[in-house]
Amino acid sequence: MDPVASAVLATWSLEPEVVVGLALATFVYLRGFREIRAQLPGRFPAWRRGAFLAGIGALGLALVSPLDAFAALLLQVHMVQHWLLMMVAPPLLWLGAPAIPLLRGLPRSWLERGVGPLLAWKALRRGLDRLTRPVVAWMVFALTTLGWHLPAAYDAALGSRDWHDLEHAMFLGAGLLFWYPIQSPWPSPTPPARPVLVLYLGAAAVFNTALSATFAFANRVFYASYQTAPRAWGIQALADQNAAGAFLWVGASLPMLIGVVALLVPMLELSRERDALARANRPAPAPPRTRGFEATRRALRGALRSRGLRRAAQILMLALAALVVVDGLFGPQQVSALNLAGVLPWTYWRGFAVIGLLVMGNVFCAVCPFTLSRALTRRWRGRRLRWPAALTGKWPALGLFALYLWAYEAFALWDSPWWTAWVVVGYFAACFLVEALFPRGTFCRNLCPIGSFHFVSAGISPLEVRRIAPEVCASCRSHDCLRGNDRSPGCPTGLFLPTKQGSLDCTFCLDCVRACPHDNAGLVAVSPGSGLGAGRAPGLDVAALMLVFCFGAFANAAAMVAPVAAWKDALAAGLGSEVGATALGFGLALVAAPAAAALACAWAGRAIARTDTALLALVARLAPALVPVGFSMWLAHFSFHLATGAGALAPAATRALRDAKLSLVSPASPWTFGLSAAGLEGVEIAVLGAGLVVGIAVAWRIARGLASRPGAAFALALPWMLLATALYVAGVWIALQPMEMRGMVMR
Amino acid sequence: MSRWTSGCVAALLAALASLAASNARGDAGHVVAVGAAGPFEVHVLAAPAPLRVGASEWSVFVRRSLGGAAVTGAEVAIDARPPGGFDRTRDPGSGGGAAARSAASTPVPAARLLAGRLLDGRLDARGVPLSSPGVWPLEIRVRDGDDAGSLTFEVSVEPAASPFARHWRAFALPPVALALFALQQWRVLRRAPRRRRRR
Repeated sequence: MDPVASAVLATWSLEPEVVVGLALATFVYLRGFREIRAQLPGRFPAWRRGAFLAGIGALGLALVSPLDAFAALLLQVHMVQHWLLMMVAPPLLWLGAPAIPLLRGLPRSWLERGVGPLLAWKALRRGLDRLTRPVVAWMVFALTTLGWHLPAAYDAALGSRDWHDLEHAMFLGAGLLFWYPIQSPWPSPTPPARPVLVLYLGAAAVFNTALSATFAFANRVFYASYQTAPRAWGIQALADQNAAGAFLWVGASLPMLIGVVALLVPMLELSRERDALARANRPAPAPPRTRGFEATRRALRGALRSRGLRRAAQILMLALAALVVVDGLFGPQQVSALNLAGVLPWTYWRGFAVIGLLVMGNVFCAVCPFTLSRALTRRWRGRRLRWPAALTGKWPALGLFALYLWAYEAFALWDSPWWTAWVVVGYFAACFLVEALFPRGTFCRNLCPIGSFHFVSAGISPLEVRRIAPEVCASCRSHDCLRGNDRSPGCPTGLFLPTKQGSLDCTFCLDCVRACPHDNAGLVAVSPGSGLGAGRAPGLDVAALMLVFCFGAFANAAAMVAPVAAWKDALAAGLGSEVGATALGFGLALVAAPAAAALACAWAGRAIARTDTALLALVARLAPALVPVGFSMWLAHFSFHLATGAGALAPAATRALRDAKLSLVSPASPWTFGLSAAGLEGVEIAVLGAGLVVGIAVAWRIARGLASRPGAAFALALPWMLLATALYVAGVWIALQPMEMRGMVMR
Repeated sequence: MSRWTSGCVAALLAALASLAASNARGDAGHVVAVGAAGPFEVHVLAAPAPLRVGASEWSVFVRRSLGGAAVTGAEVAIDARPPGGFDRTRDPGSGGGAAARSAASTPVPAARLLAGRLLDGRLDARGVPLSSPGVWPLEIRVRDGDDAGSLTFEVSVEPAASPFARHWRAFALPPVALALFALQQWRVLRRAPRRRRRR
């Protein structure tokens, strides 16, 4: 291939935020268009969808194609990019009548409770109405175009990515505003009179001519950046500038001319109203075909419900656990990054588990290999003991979770394949014993620290196992979701679907879904965080678990950064015991700090709101507000290890295969890859920020349910919001510290 | 297109974009040096502007001084020397004492040069870590067959940007989202009494 052509094809500026943004907009539009077209086929013919997609394509061409890369070298290419942003993409997007499809494409609850109140705001509507008046829109368009073409502004944009992005955003915004009065996409109010719009476009064409001529006939280069840029294809800077002016002249005039023609022709023929009437009266086309969608949905549903598939996934996890145990006990101990017990659980499993929680739900519990031992114990039909009443609730699980967090640091579990293997063996043994001696699900419900972590985290997941129609459950007398039947056992953790709120104690096993004789249970999409603090108040044990979950996230991550490691070393030197220093540090972080902070928040909220609710009751109600912040820290931490050590499996697996005399890969060339730690700082901070936002929203929602007046609710929630903010600041500080990657692979 | 299909298309696009994004470098940077290197004319571009302590992206555009033909297959090395000639920050074991580490020499692999990613003659971007602020002497060495030349120049490296400047977009997320949330809740609270009155 011609080298220039190959270079052009190879240079795409695939900025993730741009591509994901365009893909999301397309997805939401198509989803909404499908719905609205079924109702109003006359208003939404297929060509509108095509126009919108073409507009998105024009945006993509401007922002991710080689145009973006070449724009820094040639002004004419830069002009083409700006022309796409202002003169091509906006009219095409408006032709797609995107307002209603984009709104209908959003989840219903977001539309009704989130966007709805904002759109109904009269001041906002008035402001938008004024902004889209022809005079205002024209002025914004002209000033934006002129302002950004001043040499100081243009050179600033070429020298800084931030200014360049702002320039593009303003060009697109001004373009959308400029084309809005002309097209008045449905359901906008009555458009301005056509003669006014012809004048509007004519004035814009005159402005464009003046600006273009300035570039086309100039005898000096306006922008210093292009004077020093390498001369691609030998095109000199002045000739490039003149060509850019000529392009701007022709390129911008063309859409305006098309606009004028489109306005004038109906004036001579039919009126717009008659045209619209004719379109609306046209018989509705056949509704969109959904057979493919239904078939896919049924297949997915069947796969999720399939017990065989779940059992296969559990067996796969069991095999991986067996590998961890064997390699951990008999493999090399010196470098944990070369041992499967050092890599599989601490780099991969934790990372995938939190990502699974974020994008789906408690998927780890769904495929938990430890519960396979439960299936074995079910064959034994002997009499089961009663679980001691003193050990019900989450206190034992909380204790084990805190113990695990301490042991992880004290015994450097991530760096000790041998200890890791024994932890896995101990887990299987404990699960088998408890499930053999006590009723089904006792281990998951009362003891499992990993399960407790996932139960709490699942509060922010977008999927929840729920009943579908409340009235069906109201008339149900068999309660098979709880008791089970010959198709499936009931819920192992004793959850009853009609009263189930949130995802606490839900193992995502879908036994209830399989058991329901009315087919009235399933995975339902929910807003992240909506299950936290919903329904009746959680017990103090659950609140304490949530607090330790949250503070533990920060303690666990902080132990990895250099300043905290140095502080711990100094404390160990002072105490003369490293284990003692770790115990003291974790005692402070997991017991003293959460207890003091939660009580202080409850006390402060109660004092400001002037209520007489018991302190511990307030702690129990509002502690869930900290879960999103804690989860964001776990997510940032574990996905950091996953991203930086993404290739860690290859050397460990190569070594294990070689030891087992099964080597297929040359040991001299271990293949590894991973992202750079420095590049992840921004992502970690964004994740923490998202956790803070959801946490504050949850605190506000819970407090609104506790207080009748908004002022009192704000007073109750404020201390928790401040605590969440303090934790966010701590998380940001951790993310910005140099990491002590002891025993782990990173790039 | 069914909802499921459009969802799959969007997810696929997002996944492809995320995968490709790590390899994409659209920003050409700014020109930090132009000059003759033997029989070649060399343009050196660097990002970010201004250069700061931390990672930097470098590109070199090479063409023949005679005739101006672009050179696509040249072997180029970027030799970046920290201020003072030694890079003390990159070897903490030295305790900041005497000669800790020789200058960072970053030869650009020929295979990547042949790709000519941006345009004919524009050589690939290459990360060069800048470990300390100050004036860095740089040398660009170019070899194409029997022809060779070098260009020596200096660039000023500013101290590292503050974390807030580096990640301002991530830091802006909570205030912007919370402002929108507050506005939305304010609208909900304003609407609630009116709804009650209507009932």
